[in-house]
Order: sequence, then C-alpha cells, then structure tokens
Amino acid sequence: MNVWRWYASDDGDPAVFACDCDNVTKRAAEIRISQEGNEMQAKRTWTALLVMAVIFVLTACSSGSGGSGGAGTSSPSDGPASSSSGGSQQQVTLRVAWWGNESRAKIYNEILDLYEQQNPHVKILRETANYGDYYTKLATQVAGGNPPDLIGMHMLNYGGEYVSKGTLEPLDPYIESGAIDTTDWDPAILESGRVDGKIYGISKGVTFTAIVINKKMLSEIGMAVPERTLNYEEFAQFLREIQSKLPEGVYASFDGMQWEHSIDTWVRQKGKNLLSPDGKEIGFTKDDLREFYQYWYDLIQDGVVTPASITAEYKSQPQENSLIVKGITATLITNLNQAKIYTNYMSDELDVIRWPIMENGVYKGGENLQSSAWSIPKNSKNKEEAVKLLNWFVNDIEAGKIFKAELGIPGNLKVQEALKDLLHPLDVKGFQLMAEASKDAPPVAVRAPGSPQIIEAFFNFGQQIAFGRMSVDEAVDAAFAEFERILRTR
Amino acid sequence: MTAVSRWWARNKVALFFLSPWLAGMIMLSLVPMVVSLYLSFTNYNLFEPPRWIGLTNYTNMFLYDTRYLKALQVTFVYVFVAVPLQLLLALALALFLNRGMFALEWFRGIFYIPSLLGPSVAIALLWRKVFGNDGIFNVVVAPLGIQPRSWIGDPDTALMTLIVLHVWQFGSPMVIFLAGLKQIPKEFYEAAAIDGAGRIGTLFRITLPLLTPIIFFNLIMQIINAFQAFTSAFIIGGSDGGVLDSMLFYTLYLFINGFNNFQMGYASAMAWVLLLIIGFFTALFFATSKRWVYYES
Repeated sequence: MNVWRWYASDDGDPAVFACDCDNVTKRAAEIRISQEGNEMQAKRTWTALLVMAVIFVLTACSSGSGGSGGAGTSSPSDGPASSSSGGSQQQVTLRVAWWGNESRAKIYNEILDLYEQQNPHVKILRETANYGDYYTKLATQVAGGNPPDLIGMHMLNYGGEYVSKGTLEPLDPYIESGAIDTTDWDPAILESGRVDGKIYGISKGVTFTAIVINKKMLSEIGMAVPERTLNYEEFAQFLREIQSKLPEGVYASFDGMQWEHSIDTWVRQKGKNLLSPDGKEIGFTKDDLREFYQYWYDLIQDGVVTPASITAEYKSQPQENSLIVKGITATLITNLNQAKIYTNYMSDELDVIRWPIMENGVYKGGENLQSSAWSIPKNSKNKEEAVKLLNWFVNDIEAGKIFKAELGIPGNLKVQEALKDLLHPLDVKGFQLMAEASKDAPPVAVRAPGSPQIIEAFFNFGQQIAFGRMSVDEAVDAAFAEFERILRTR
Repeated sequence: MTAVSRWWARNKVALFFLSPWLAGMIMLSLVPMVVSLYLSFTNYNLFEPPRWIGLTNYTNMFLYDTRYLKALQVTFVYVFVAVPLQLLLALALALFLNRGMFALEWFRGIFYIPSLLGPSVAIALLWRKVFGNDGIFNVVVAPLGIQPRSWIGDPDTALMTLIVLHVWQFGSPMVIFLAGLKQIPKEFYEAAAIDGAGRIGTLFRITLPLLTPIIFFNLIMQIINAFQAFTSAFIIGGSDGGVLDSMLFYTLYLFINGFNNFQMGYASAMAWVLLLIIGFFTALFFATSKRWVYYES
C-alpha cells in the first residue's frame, strides 16, 4: 500500500504499477530504480531550468532590441546626455515623422540627409505613413508616451484636437529666444499655427481649397478659363456651360458635398465656423446647411457634377486615379499644392482658379489656410535639437529649394523669393490666388476638436441626398440630429 | 502533501517550458482584455485619463448610434450570406475533386491560392479595379444587357462585391472538406451501391451525414472569421465605410471610433459586444449540433 502511494507521485512508471509483490529484495530493487529515477528527474529539471534560462536571456535580448527598434527610438544611451550637453558634439538621435507617399519621402530624405551632413552629431530616424495611417500611428505613439521628436501636424484638421489634449509643446518661448527665427515670415502663415493664443505649429507650407481645370479640354469645346474669381452663381453657370458641350459620360466637376473643405469655406463666408472654438456646439444653422446642400443637389440633378456612385468610387482615390486624370471630369475640387501633382499623370495642361466667392456674404472669400506644420510633442526627449532642425528646415534657402513648396507656400518670404524661378507654374498661380484670398477671407481658424466627426456626418448625409434616399430637408434634420449626438457623446 | 504542492511537483517542468507562452498570454492577451473591459465603462480619448461613465457607452450604442446599428446590419448580412455561399461552393468543389481527376493535386493547389491571397491589400485593390466604374466586370456582364456602372460606388451592390471576395476564398474550407471526404470508409459506398442507391441518395444518406462534423467545424470557424472581417472593407470601401456606409463592417466602425475619433472607451465597449455576439452564435451552433452532427462512434 505504502509502496503504491510512494510510486503514485512518481508519474506512474508502468514497471512500478505492474509490480505489487511484497518481496523485500524486489522492493529494494524498485526503490533503487525509482531513486535513480528521481535523480534522473532532478537532472532533467536542472537541464530544463538551464534551457529556460538560456531561452529567457535570448528572448529578453531580442525583444529588448526589437522593442526599441520597432518603436524607432535608438541610440542606446541617448536621452539626457544630448539635451543637457550645452552645444557639445555629443551624438543625438532625432526621430522625425511626416505623412506622404514615396515621392514625398524622397524629398524629405534629401533634406534630412543634408542636415545630417551639416550636423554630423545628429542622426535622424525617419517615420512615414500615408495621411490617414499617419494620424492613427501618431495618436497611439503620443498616448503611449513615445512620440517622435519632431512631427508633421495638419494644423487645421488636427491641431485643435492635439492641443486640446495638451500633447504639444508651445513654441512661443523658442520664437522669443530666437531659436526659431520668424523675422522674415509672412504673419498670416505664422498665425496659421496658432491655437488658443499660442503657436503650436511652424508651417512647412500652406495651401487652401481651389478648383483645378483641364485647360485643354476646355479649349477643345471652345471655352476659356475664367479671368477673375467667380461667385457661386457664376460658378454654377460656368459649370453648366461646360456640361452642355461635353460628351456623355464626362462631367463638368465633382460633388462639393463630398469635399471636406467646402462646407467649412461656405460657413466661413457667412462669418461662422464649423464648431464653436471649444468644440461644444455647432457653429452654423440648419438654413446654412440646407442652402449648401441645395446648391450642389441642383448641380447633380442637372448632370453637371458627377453622379453619386461615381463620386463615391473616386472620392478617396489617389491623384493618379483621380477623375481629372481619368478624363471623367473637366474640373476638380482639390487643394492648391496638389494641382501640380496631377500633371505628373496627364499630358493636358491644367490651370487653377479660386473657390467661388459669396457676393452677399460676411466675407467674400472663405478659404481656410491649411497649414502643414512641424510640431514638437510635449514629451519629446530632444526638444532643443528638434527645434534646431525645425528652424533650419523652414528657414534655410537650400532646404526650401529642395522642398519646393511641396506642401504649399512656405512662410519665410526669403524662401518664397528664392523659389520664384523654380516653382511649377501652377504654384506661381497659387501664390497669386493666395494673395487675393488673404484680402477677403476671415483669419485662419484652426478647427475645434470633434470636427472630423462632424465632417464625416456631413459627408454621409450629402450622400443620402445625392443617391436620392433623402430629400434636402430630411438630410438637414438628420444631419443636425447626428451632430448633436456626436457632440453629446464626446 | 497538499493538493497544491502535489500539483506543483507534477507540473513544474511543464510550467517552466510553457512559461514564455504563459507570460505572453497573460501580458499580451489577458491583461489587455481586462483593461479593455475596464475601458469599455469609461470615456477615454487616449490622451487624458479614462473617466468612469458606467454603462453609457453600451446604452449609446444601441439607443442613439444609428451608424452602429447600420454596422451591425451590414455585418450580419455579410456573415450570413457570405459564409453559407462560401461553404456551399467549397463543398461542391470538394465533392467534385474527390471523384479523382487528372492532375488533382494541381487543381487543389490552384483552388487554394485565393485563400492565401484573399485577405491581402493587393487583392482588395484589385477588387476595386474589377468592380469599379471602368472595371472588367462591366465588360463581362455587358453581353447580358446590364448597364455599365460602378458596383463599388452603388450602395445596393457594394456589399455584394465584398461577399463575392469572401466566397472566392473557398480554398481553405475546401481542403478541409476534401480531407473529411477521404475519411469516409469505402465500405459504406459499396454497401450503398449493392443496395442500389443512386448518386443523389448516396450523397444525402452517406456522404453528407458522415461529413457533418467537418461541416460543423468549417461553419464555426468561418463565422467567427467573417464577423471579424476588416481588410476588404477598409481597402475597397475606403476607411469611412464606403458609399452610404454600405461596407461599414463592425470592426471597421470600431476602428473608426477608436483611432479616428479617439473614443477608445466606446471602441472597447463595441469590442466586448462583438465578443458576446460571436460567443452567442458559437454557443447556438454548438447547442443545435446534437441534432444534426453525427459522430461515427
């Protein structure tokens, strides 16, 4: 019995179970065997421990390096040495992030390589993603306390959100100390980085919404690009005239109900905003929205802008697959700095005109400057060095020439001047349009937090109208109900 | 010896060897799950500390969020149309291939390829081309007198394109069906043949009943899979759920709330509801399985 129990704990070796005799010698032999078994097991346990230890060390090593590598941090013993070392030449690793495609990455890399050459003690780790994914990644990095040291920030769309969460470093002290030199800056462009009274972003370039026109297609049907800026009625008339001469399956323009800056521009022309500055209330009325939807719905019904399903299919397509490149529309609503990108994919000559003005509005123009800026996260570990790079990037003539107004018009007037001969003709026209818009549009207003969701709802109900699923009135009511839900649950 | 120490003595080696995976499971799965359960009762915008709001996320979801209800609807249609179609196709092809044919291995391989490619971004992009305004699908159906249109841009047909993409990935259930068919003993067919059973009779009296455990397995796996579908809608419909939200999968709306709208608490609550939904259907199928799944023993 005793033997039985004694063995039972010993993982039940079949040999032991088989033997239930009480022969003493036999039992002794068994005990010896099982002792050997125990020793064996002890040995095995030790081997196991050893193997485990090795595995742990190995995995710890690899996950350690993998962790920091994946996060993109770097320079093992970095951090404190670099920032506090008062201008010495200690190695610094800066993490810089931006959004954009492959060709834009080439431009950034060229500029950052140049900076590394001029500043051998700085090593720049680069992180890039397309616009949508960029903000997903950034949000997680910032929330996780591990953001890059210098980040691209679309001030208009995301600045309000990030500043309201207290995640960005105010840059005014650096401007006052001269670490960021803004003496040659266009004040309006500098202001585009201001949120709640402080500067949080230094612009890499500003752009705004405009209409790009296929000049060749227009001249083929005997029409010309308008000389002066049109108002809304004239613009609709212009599109209707184009449409009357176009073959079937080609449209004069794109549906403004699916362009995120169109409603913004519309309400700004009426002296209002998408949201109140604190993001708690809707900044415009049902009537504003109704008029807006009606304006575009009429154009859809007359077959002047793309029908709903084509609009939906092409809305989120990259430039090379856009409606104007495919020859499906004669004009396209876009951002000014992107106009030149379309020319990479088509041979027809393009031109740009301003977004329509509102004759009886509070402001004639409503364009909001969209500043693609550099910002510095509050928990960046290398603020001093990040500021140096930022200052060089936006003010250095050489860097400016490589960047070539990629994200729109640069803020430094000297850089602007140096670019005059290098710029794409569409960008030159852009400079003119901007000068004109700055005279009749209200000051830049960074969008309040919550506006991306409001825009999303604005799109959805515009689509309901375009597909004929809702009347304009129904859509306006439903949209406002949704706006309220969004603001209530934030 | 107490029970615990005996248990420890018996299992310590196993635990040591399992420890990397146990650590992974606890730290990478269990802890995040518990945290997400906590977050589902809070308002959490990623940047500020979570604020406890009780069941508000859950009530908002069902009472006020019309887009959420739309996402539920889209997902249910997708799961309960795409999965049966896919399994039917997989079963039909498995039966066909099982009869033995020239270069069977090759065909099996070829039919399996879509399952490997299906969930990829490249295929999703290709789908855009196929069902777009200028896609080849329009060319294919033109002889049938169907007007060319953008199948992806039309709210009535957009979800259909995703269902077709899902059905197209019939390869992996097909391979499992094939394996199941090979397991059915030949004797049954011989006996049936002697008794004069026809092809249809054999199919419904022998093949399908003996295949039910495999059908059951495939059904459960594919339903769980389909509820969590994301990539196809994200790429084909755009990150906003496609035209009129017709491709707004549950997981996509969850992603939008969490990462675009910075509402992690709400997104966590949505994730837990999805877990309950999947759990409910899995349990339901298990409960009914006694009635229609035959195990040989």
